[in-house]
Amino acid sequence: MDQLSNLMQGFSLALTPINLVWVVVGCVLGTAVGVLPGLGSAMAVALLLPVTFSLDPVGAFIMFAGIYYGGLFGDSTTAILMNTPGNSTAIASTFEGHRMAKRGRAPQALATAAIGAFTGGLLATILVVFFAPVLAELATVFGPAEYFALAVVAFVATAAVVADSAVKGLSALAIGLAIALIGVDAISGAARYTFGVPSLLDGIDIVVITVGLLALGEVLFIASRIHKDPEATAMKISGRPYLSGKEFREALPAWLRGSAFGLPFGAIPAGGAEIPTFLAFGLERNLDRRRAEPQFGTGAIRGLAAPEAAANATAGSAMGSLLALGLPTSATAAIMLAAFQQYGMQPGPLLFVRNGELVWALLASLFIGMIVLLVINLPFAPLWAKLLMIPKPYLYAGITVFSALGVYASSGSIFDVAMLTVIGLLGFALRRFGLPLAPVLIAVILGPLAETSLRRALAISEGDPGALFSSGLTITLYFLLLLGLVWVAFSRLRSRAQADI
Amino acid sequence: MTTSSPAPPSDDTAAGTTAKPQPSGMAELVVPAILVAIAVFLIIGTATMVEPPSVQRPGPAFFPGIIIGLLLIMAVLSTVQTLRTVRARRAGLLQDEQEAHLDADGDPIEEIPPDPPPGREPWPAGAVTDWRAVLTVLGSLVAFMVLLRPAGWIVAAAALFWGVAYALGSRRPIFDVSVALVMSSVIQLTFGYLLGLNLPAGFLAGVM
Repeated sequence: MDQLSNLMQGFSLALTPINLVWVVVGCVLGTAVGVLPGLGSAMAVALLLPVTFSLDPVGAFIMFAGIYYGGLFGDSTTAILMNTPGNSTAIASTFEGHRMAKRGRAPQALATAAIGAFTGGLLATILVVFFAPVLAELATVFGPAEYFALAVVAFVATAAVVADSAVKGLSALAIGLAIALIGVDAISGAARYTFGVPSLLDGIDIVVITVGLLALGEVLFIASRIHKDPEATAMKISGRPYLSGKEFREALPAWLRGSAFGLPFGAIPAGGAEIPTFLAFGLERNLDRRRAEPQFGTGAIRGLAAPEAAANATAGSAMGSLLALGLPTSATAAIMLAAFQQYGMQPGPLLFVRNGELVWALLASLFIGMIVLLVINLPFAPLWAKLLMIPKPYLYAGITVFSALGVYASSGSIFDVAMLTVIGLLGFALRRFGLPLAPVLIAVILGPLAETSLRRALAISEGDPGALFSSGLTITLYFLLLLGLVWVAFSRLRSRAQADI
Repeated sequence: MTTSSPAPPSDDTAAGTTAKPQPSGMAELVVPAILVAIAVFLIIGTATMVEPPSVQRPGPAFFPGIIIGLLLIMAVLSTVQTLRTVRARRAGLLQDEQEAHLDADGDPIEEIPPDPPPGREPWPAGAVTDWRAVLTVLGSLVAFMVLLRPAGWIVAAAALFWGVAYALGSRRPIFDVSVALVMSSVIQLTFGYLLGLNLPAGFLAGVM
């Protein structure tokens, strides 16, 4: 097995003391931002991106992966204890998780969530190790038309399928695509939308965009609401802090079913873990209704176990599709793609060939990270909840200073700090009016790829748009997209009909 | 652009709490305004674009054209959507907003209404955005940009930290400024020296 020997080499690189330090740092940071509502792994990676340039890329990516997984471990803690999901990925965990906590089973709920996240992440990472290289090999035949199809699927899936409202999602997408246009055109060399400002010739730095949208936009939004939004209170925790054998056996099938939902969704660009977590929750609820004694509504352990496993399984297979296809399927993956580009690497088919050492070290560190996360989350979840005692003014003031630090440090230009402020205001406006941020990020990062591959495909075919649909692969991709859209339209209509009754 | 519109009917008028950042109706029209503004920016830029001779077709203005179209279509659709929501809300059709204070069991969520900072009157229930806090954050960022080169990172970042903390309601000036100075100094030391990031030393240039 090629993969196994590669993975063993990856472990030998990942198990060096300095890389172990980065794994732990990433996991701790990721759990922390996951626990804090409003902060997420995407923001943490964006803030760290500029200050990690001086690091060795292996160390930086190991840390980023720890943050990504850690965010999904941490987000359920506040969902369970405070009925406030740390991130949108934990919304489905909130229902039964908080009910368990209200009935005095908070420690069991926290343990169920941590083990679920571990199970999902572990299964997904194992699959990635075996299938990502195969996928990368398949992707070597991709031409411009295939890449354009992939980008279109990513755009439409995140914008129309994931967002609550297709209009809002597509508006966010269009804003992101427009931002990505600024700068010198990669094909013709024409300066576009720079209006004579030399600093704009290279486009708006991806660091400025991600930090502005995710960090400064959040600070401005919190500032606009700080004295108005009520704060939820955490529950006291008492009782035995472990799962009994019966509880474990009860949760096990739900963990596995949840992972099965998460795996495919991470690999396709449907914008993150929200959909699979809700699907996994829905399945458990339907199965529960058929049991002799339905548990849902009273703190069912399975209603928490399944979405948690689904969320982390998504993260695992999202890493696979990022590494093998260069296709980001969540906001955090999109920023990690930007990070690869900053280091002069292009995720995708060639990454396994050109930067094999880094890829396998990264995959190996995912396993190490999962164990670290289980250790720091299983017994210590109540301690993490104490992070909520950091005074909000200092937390957000610190985030602002870090945003300014990152942007100034990566370019040394005051102009970029001014751009950061403008993008931050845009991020504020998007939050204020409920526009999703993930489509903006995916558009900014995949926009240039979409444009160049579209224009190349059309140039090869001498302007015949039929070339975009000429291969079996592109037709399959568009067909799957269409199927997804029909399914979403159908389920929205159905839920609307139910709401009327 | 937001605070003037009438508040949606809500019964939780206790001490300035509202449920969520409620779309207060007409203010939502800011979204199509932003979309149109970006479209106009792209249209002007496309019109003034200098295309290098003999470019391969489709040229550099091709993809922006598609995006301009998408922006304008979305502007129209979101205007229509906003107006329909406003009409529905006026007719009292949107009930579900009042359930925001209940959790999944229907139990009320225990929430502590935040205290307004000293010297500020309670917020009107309908106001969505606290513009004074937002402008304080923006002002702190401008101060940071002005101060960074002449005064150095430690001073500029400390000012930024304190400004944002003040905007978010912290009112312990001596303690806040101390925290701010410690944080900016620690960053200068760790990131400036250990990781080699280029941060202006300002008036401390000679000392360090």
